[in-house]
Amino acid sequence: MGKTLAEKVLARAGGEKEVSPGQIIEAEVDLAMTHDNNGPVMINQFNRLPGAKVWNPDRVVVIIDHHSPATSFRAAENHRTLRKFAAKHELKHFFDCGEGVSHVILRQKGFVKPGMVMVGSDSHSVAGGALGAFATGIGATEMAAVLARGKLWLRVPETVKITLHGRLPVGVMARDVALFLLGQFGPDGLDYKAVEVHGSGIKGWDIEERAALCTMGVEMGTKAMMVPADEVTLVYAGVAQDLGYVPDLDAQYERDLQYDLGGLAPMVSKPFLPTNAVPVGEVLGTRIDQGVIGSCAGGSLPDLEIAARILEGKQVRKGVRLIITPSSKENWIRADEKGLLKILKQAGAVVSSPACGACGGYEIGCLAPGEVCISTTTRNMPGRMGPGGEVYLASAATVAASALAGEIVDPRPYLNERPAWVS
Amino acid sequence: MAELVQGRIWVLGDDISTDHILPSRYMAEIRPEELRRHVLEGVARDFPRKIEAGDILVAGRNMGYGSSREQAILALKAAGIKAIVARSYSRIFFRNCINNGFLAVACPGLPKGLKDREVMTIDPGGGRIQVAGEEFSCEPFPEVLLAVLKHGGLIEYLAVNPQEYRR
Ligand code: SF4
Repeated sequence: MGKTLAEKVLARAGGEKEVSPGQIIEAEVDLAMTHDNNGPVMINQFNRLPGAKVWNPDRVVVIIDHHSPATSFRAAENHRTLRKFAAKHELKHFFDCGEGVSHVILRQKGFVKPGMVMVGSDSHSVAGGALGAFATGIGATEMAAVLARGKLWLRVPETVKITLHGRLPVGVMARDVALFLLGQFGPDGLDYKAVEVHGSGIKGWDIEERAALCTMGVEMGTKAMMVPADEVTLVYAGVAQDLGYVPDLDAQYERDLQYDLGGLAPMVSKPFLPTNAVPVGEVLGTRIDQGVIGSCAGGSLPDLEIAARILEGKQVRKGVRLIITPSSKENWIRADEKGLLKILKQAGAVVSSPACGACGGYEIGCLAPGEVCISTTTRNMPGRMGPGGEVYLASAATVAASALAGEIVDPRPYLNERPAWVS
Repeated sequence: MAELVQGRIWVLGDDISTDHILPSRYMAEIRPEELRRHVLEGVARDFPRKIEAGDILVAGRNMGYGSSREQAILALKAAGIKAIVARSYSRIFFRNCINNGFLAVACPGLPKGLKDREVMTIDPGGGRIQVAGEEFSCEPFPEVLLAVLKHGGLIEYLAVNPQEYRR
């Protein structure tokens, strides 16, 4: 019987000939990531293991991204704790303030490869599935154990196959597909499942767009959200195709679902769940105080490009703050080289250094009670950007257009003209 | 692990996220005495003041949805919460509970309409819960988890099994 991609990867990592859903395996970890948000808790736990050493200092990546540059005295202390730990254990891969968001760095610096088992002490580690890795989030204590052991137990999940057909209309983005799917499944609709994404709909997407989709998968509970490796993946990751990177043709799926992207509208997730997704038409006219373009699922180059296209030569509505946080140094530099940052700044946006930024309300881009923000970040639970604040999640296009209007608008009419610099 | 746990309950809804349990703005904080002051602030501002040591949380579906932050569990522990009973759990949160030796019991048949401050008794070994004069069964723990829970957490388990990690 054929196996899904998740089953093939976990069989390899578990040293088993084959595995089936429900089976519990001990998986060897190929890559482990932690960051400043829970690295300090992890270190406390690691230090409680007498004489523990890091199982393989080359396979651990430590990144400062959540409170970066240090947003408080306590954050500064946590950063120092991480730097010391990395030095003491001779961890080879340490990224300090200003490099970007962990999940983005992992793919852009070439750490994530198809067929890997990757764990991160962050729920959005599922982002690695964009490259066909079995990538999943774990907590800080578990990460301490992974660092000491290089393995962890995993229950082999059932796999749900999602096939996307058709082409996205102009002004509708990968991010809208993510919100649409969240709305279809709800906050625990794919809990504990591995998802495989297939179809002509995503073939033309670059890795950043695939990552925007996979990263958001965890908001409906997915344990892993994987795009089997194709030409785009192989070129990006610099590897040759391997049977271990793709599912068997006769793989058994728990569910096999098809969606057509051709008629999709821009989507907006209303407070207070990322899965409260509705077509933008249902929230038109909602007054906003702030717009945010950033996060591991919304601060990519395609996001900055479409924002610049909408904002070029115009001004952000008076009374609205627009905060743009490129998700990595690489995206920041490339956006700068393309002249995008200048356009964004001239339109009145505040462009901040690559990090998580306002995504978690970490002392930047906070909301006062009653204020409303439209954002490309990942979550909109109560208090996410400050107690009493409300967050609507949308695409970079919808955020940029709404920042001009001062209220939530459909971005499509803003994209009719094609500026000269768009190739 | 085999001991009965008894306490007053606080009833929460479905999809209680880790942002509800400990809003992300407190994430740079790792001191228990600070964390406890903000526990469940995302549900209600006055929650931290209502909770007493020994209380039990009762939740609906998808308890612990969202971020992997373990500070959420550290905050619950610091506030003296003894256990959680939920209809179902979000994956990472459930693992985090067990890894921290914190009793999290899944009870899909838990009735709606339970009231705050009712007394609940959990028999983790026997897989049973008593509340409001009724008894319910809960899901058994897989063996890997039982071993961890018995030792009071993953680190405690590894510390007495040093052959399991690199030294
Ligand atoms: S950008 Fe937001 S969701 Fe992504 S890692 Fe940072 S805080 Fe988490």
